[in-house]
Amino acid sequence: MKYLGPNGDLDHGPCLDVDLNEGVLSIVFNCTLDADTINTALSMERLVAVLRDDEAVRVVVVRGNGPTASLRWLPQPVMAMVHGACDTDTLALIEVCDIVICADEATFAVPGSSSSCINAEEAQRQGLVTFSVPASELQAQTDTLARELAAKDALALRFTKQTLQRVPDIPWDEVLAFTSAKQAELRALQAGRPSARASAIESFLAGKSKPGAGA
Amino acid sequence: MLQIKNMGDGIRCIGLNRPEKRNAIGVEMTLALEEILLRTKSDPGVRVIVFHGIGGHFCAGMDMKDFFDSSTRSPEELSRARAATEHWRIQLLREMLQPIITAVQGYCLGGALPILAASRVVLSGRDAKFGLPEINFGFVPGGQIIKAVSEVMTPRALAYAALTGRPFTPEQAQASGLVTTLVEGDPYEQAVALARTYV
Repeated sequence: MKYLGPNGDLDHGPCLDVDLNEGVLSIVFNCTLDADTINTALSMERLVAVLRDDEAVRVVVVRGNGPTASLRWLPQPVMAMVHGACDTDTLALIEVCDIVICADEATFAVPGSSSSCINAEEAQRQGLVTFSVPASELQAQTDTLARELAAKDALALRFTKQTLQRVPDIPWDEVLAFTSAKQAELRALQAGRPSARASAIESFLAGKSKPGAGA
Repeated sequence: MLQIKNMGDGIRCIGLNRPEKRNAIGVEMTLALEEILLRTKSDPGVRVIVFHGIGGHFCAGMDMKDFFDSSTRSPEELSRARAATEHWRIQLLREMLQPIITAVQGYCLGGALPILAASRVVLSGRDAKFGLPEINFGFVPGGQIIKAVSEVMTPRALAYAALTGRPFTPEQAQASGLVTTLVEGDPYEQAVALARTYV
């Protein structure tokens, strides 16, 4: 379903297709990068400003290259689906994404080098991508993971992303204060609303699910 | 809760011993961990530490039933146990003077990972199953766990594990930096053999 924002008035321009299905917001860039880049960048900024506070959007999936810099400000997990053709625009995209899935045949430019390319295996080893799959499964595996994320407790997901972004860069003595503040905030926000957490714990206690074994 | 064995030559093996709960760390175990690490740290007779799990699993993480929403413990007991947990996993593990070798098999989840992060060597059996399953409960992995793991694991692999809650294999754990070496057979025996080369 086309995504027009909570007020139904977003206009994404000609280069951007934005759809929302069951919590998964999909952004597809369908122009070459030099075509109308400035307007597309402005559309992206307007979109991100709205997405931040839209609770219906639980995970964002980006396909194709475009002006993606503003995605780094999203509190939701952002995934990229990458065919990978050894260009620096792809590097700019994956830099702002939390999870990057690429095709086995994908190649990647080396940050800081204009001439050499690396393959998917090496890109994974260097931490550019999360994992690779056969090209024929790229779409399906990306969709599966996006739906899986969208089914999780949205607040816990946002807090997990914040923790991942913040904690590695702060000193140890600030970690405890950060964590207790965040956990108190999460408990307060989750209290009194139907959450994945309450039902997951109930199911775990009843012996029906083993979260350690996967969702 | 813990099986402590001194093997001679300064090797102390600390076995997580609550096999009916896949060695999940509950109140008693966390107090015991604090106590043994405190005692070991100042013991010049101990020159290397081997961590392992009894009963086929390393550790299923913190015991949610004991610590969290449905705990039947008194507030004082829980508060003491939480303080002990922070003490051993943030401070003691990282300040131990002796090198730590950890042998992993079976489940190795969540609250178990700071032990791996503090280890000089992590040997993993082929059957091990790693993960940060907190998100599957609607929880957030503790900042202390993320911080410890981020010191050894690639950011991509850590983000994937924490956001998806999906388990990952020993091969993936090794590629991400969490595991040093994959071993055939019992990783505990091999950890003890390796420890003998340290003394």
